[in-house]
Amino acid sequence: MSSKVSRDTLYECVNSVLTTSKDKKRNFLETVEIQIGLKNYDPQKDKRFSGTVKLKHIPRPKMQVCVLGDQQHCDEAKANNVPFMDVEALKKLNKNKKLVKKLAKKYDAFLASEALIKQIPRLLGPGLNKAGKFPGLLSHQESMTQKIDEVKATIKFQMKKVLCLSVAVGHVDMTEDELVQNVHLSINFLVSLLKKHWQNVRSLHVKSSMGPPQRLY
Amino acid sequence: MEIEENVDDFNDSCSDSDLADIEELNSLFLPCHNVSSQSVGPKYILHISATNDTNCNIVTALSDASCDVFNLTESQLHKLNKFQEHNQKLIDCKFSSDNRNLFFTGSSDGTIKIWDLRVPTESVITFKDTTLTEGSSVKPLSSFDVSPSNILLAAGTELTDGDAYILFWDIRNTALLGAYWESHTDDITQVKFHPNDSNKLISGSTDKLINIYNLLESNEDDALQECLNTEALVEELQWFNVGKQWKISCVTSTNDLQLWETDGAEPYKCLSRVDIASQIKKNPGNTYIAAIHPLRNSLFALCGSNNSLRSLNISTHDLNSGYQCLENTQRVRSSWINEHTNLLLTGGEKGKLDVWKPDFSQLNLKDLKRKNGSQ
Repeated sequence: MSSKVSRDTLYECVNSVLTTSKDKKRNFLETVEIQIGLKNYDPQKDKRFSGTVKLKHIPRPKMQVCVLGDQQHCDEAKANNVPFMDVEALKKLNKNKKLVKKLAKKYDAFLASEALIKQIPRLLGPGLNKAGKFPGLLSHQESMTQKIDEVKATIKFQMKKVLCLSVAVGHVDMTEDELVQNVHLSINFLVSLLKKHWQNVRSLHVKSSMGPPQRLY
Repeated sequence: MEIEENVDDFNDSCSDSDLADIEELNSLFLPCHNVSSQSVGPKYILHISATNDTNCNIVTALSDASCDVFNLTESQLHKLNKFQEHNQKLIDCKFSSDNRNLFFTGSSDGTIKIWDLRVPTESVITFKDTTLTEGSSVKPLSSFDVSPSNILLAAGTELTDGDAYILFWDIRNTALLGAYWESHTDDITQVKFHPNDSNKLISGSTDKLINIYNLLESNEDDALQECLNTEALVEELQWFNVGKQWKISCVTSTNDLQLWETDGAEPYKCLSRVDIASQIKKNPGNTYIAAIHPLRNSLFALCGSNNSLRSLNISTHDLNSGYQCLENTQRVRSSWINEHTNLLLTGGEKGKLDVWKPDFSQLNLKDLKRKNGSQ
């Protein structure tokens, strides 16, 4: 374990977050996020601090992914209880902005077969772009459920003008081990992108949506 | 349950040691010599552009929002002037392709300016969003490009009040021509015209997409031709050609490289930060891609790791080591190459403008030697 954050500290911290959340049960599933505060970093001149990273355990289990598939993928989706649409169904939307917007709202993310993904701008116009939900590629080389899990496990982080960043890395129904693994992976990844690594980190906290921040570093 | 122990090593130690000894490094990388250097002071050199002639003019955009212009004659740098008018960070600077006295600067203050080297006191023209009304927010620019015809100016903006725009101007007058705002949902970090076609434009964003537009179409819906989903945050885009085929290179915010066909569903080649680090013989935790330049049907990738600076040649089927810039002492943020004059310019976080003279003809020779050697 890193000499900066000991294994024990990490477990203690995650434990506090989970315990606090269990003590005051909410009527929704609280997310768990890490908050990183930077120092010796100037957003005006230093390189943008942002990226995507795939976590080990899915932080957003309720995420709904829809497959825009060719025949083979549609069959596979049906068999796996995954929502899907084929080319004909997309053509029926007739590039109608309202309908495309409705489709975009219905799902959190989309995956599309190679044959379809290239046609999206012509079939649907910029509606999915506008919703920030342009599909990712679903190839025939990998399993559909695996790719869907990958989409659900990937988080984006982007620091804009202030020196702190919040990233959702899990939820309160995960086990202690799962949360620790996600937190550990995220922190290592984030730090590896900083010019001076740990010397650019002022503080680290873990918290559940409604809980108090627990200091990690 | 296991937590990976070794992942922490490169973060904790920040080890910048080479992963090969000096002999191996010298056999892999050609030496690239620093012939001249100038300091701009305790600022970062964020962008560099130069004219294409032998005694070229060089504009450097600095972290204090000013530009220092130099002339390079007989391998000696002479400072010409400082140009200052923008009050927020500079996002890019470019020399005009048809007038060596004019250069463009863009800023997050929402404007693009044209400067004349002969008039250092003030800019010649300022372009801004002329449709802005009282009380509406200025759209900070994050990228810009000039069409090869030198008629069109395009600028990408940061996400402002829920929209990210591409703004268009006709260079011959300052009123805004039009804009796109439906195709991206986050900061537009790159806009690039096709080098030979002023009607073809690509844009890249932190919304993970590379969009390709046909500007001849009268509205944005029809203009949007292709969307390439990089599944990563786009940092830098380049058009490059292999023979007659034009392709796109994309550097992500996490220092990975993707190569795309314009009609691809996925990149045809990917190099991760780890791949690049392994090729430049450095620790991945410190490795970054400084720049990508098209060079002779392949790509010249300038890569660094703390103060080390090395180059790689990347083509569809090959990844070869290139140069080592031994005298480099800074983190490089900007560069420029001219293959006809064997010139490489670099600028970075220690405020040094370095002039290098790689012999680009040697690169091919070296690859051929290695290929023959391996048979």
